[in-house]
Amino acid sequence: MEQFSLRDLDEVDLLLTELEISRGKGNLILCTVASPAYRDHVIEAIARRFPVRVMAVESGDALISDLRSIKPDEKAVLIWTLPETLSKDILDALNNFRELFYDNGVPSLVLMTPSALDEVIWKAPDFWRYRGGYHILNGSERGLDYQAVEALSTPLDFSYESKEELLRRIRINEYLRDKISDQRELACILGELGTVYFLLGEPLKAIEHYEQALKISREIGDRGGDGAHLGNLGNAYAGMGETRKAIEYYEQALKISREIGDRRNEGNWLGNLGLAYADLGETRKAIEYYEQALKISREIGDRRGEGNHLGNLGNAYAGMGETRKAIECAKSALKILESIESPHAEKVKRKLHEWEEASNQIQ
Amino acid sequence: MDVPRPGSVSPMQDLLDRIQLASRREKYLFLGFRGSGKSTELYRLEAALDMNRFLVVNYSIRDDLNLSDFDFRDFFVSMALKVYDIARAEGVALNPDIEEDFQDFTRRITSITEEEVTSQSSAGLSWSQIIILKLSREAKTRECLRKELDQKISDLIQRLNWLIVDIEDKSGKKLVIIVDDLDKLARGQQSEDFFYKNYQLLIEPSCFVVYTFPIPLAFHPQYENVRHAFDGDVILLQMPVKRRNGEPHEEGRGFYRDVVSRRIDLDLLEDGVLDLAVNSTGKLSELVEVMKEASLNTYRKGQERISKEDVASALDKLRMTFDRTLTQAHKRKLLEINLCKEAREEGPDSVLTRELLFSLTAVEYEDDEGRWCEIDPMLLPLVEKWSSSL
Repeated sequence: MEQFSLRDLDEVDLLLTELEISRGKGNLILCTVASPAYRDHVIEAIARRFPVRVMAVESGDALISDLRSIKPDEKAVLIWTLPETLSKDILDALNNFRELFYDNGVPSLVLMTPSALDEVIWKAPDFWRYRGGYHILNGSERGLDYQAVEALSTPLDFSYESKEELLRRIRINEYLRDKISDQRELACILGELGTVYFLLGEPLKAIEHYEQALKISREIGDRGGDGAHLGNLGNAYAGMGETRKAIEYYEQALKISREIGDRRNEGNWLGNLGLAYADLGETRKAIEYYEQALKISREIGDRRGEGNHLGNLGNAYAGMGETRKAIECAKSALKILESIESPHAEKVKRKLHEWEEASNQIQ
Repeated sequence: MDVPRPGSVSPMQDLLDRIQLASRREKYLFLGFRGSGKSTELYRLEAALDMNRFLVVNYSIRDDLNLSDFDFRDFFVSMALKVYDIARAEGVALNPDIEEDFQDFTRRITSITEEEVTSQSSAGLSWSQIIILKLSREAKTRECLRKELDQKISDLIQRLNWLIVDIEDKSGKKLVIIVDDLDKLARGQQSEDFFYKNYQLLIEPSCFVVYTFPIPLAFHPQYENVRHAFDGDVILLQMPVKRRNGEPHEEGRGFYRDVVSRRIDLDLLEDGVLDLAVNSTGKLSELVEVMKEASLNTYRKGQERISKEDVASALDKLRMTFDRTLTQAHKRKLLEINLCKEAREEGPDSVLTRELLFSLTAVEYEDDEGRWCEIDPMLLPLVEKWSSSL
């Protein structure tokens, strides 16, 4: 459950239902997902229910060729992932060969980012109108490992299993808020309320609480608290798609973590800066940040961070077409994530498989 | 039946004053040799705390946890369950969300099902008692809990603190947790791991906590680093029976005589018996042990009064046991302590001194002239023999 933004749970259910009733029939279902990492969660969820074939769309010609040649198992679901920026030949292929999505006798789910959808609506309008279903998954994740929860000052992390549990956590924190006189503890409670609201998909409420927490931590001179709340504000803005603003907050948080020698959070904010720049398409810059974060996680023996940063580096290199480097990173990431039984291991394994297949085809 | 300890401020009074005057929830280490009367002092502390101001959870880890397979994660679960229990015992109605959340979390980390609890609750045990029982008896439950908590210990500490805040708020009292017998951890490495690797967690509970602390660990080079994380380290030293210069310590001897006189009818002792036992042991636990052994000797012989021979025989038996089990290196170290009246490790890797202090073959004392170390008075007759043979 933790892999989905809670506000998306109903939408994911709806999507699964639509796929279920489309099995064995042609259908074209479009779905926007907030980020590549979140897209992977969606694919995993579908793969748990149906046999899937995931096809990464890289060019218009290849798409047409795949659509014509593919012979899927009759119970399968075809998942097409569109790149973040759609080239003219892809848009043309979608627009002009849209009927092929129905011809292969199984449902086709096309996953794309919201900005790619904008392009589809304007530049491949026939494909857009030809759809049998349409879903929006907002997500909250910005990369392999979105670190908002971890970056909290106190507690360092908390786990939850359901929306009800998060709602209960809000009630408990609100109950305790009136009983606490210690300002540092009060700031922690407000910070945690911010994070729970963030997880519940209410970034505005999250920001409101983080700002209150930040005000207190500044008043009492708690630099560690300042850093955590600033970083979490960055997360909330990133969640709202305000990536530039998020970067500003991450940079402030990073500065504080360096001042006070908080290596773990320094690594967290560097990693999140990497994710933010990746979101902006500045992959080179993202790689620089991931590498800095990776160096710190290795220095402090943070295996989880090391595995996640390596995984993110793999994604970035793959995005730049440097498949060999991507495979190297993913192999190292997988080794670590499996050894610590990380839930991310499966995702990296699948990515690795995908890149190795692509690499073999090229050879 | 308590015998007041001579000296300016007793450790119990020291702790009591600290707790009563503290403006925040402090954490203390309570150090003492095994058998020096720590538990008695802690019971006195509990009794002395004003019931209208403080709520005391005083428990021994020996009652609830498996000491041969001890882990800090088990420890915090048992602490949280003890705190949960005090709410029930005091009739404090916990906030329903906090209570439900705690129960859900505990079930999740222990994998104990509601059915298991229901099937055992017929024995009259409460929910928390059943969990503690399973934790102490079932390796499977411990294994599951440790795995679950490996990355989530802060989750547990947070829930413990939620309980504390709610209980303190509803009862209008401050919570004082006294954890006894932590110095009984079976292996030296176990207690080192517990105190030195996890000391940051030990100061996390948001209430007063008194942790008993194994005195041999205080001779570990890391002690100085850890000590400052706590608000105070209070030491219950052994009462000496001899001064540093070897002269009799009359105050200390009087203390031990008083303890025995409250437990044994002195008419059952021949003249000089009590002095022999007191002066040859200088430790409560050993004194009691020797007197028990001596009385057994007396009973076997069909005598009515304990004689000096009975005590001497009991002392010899213990002395021979020590002589046999001590290594040459230990004996050399004991001779050094006897000569210098100081116990220091040679370096960070050395454990000799700690082993001697742990076995109580070396003891730290304090009187109006300061602190010093000496070998167990019972072993003094062996000094000459060791000196000539080593």
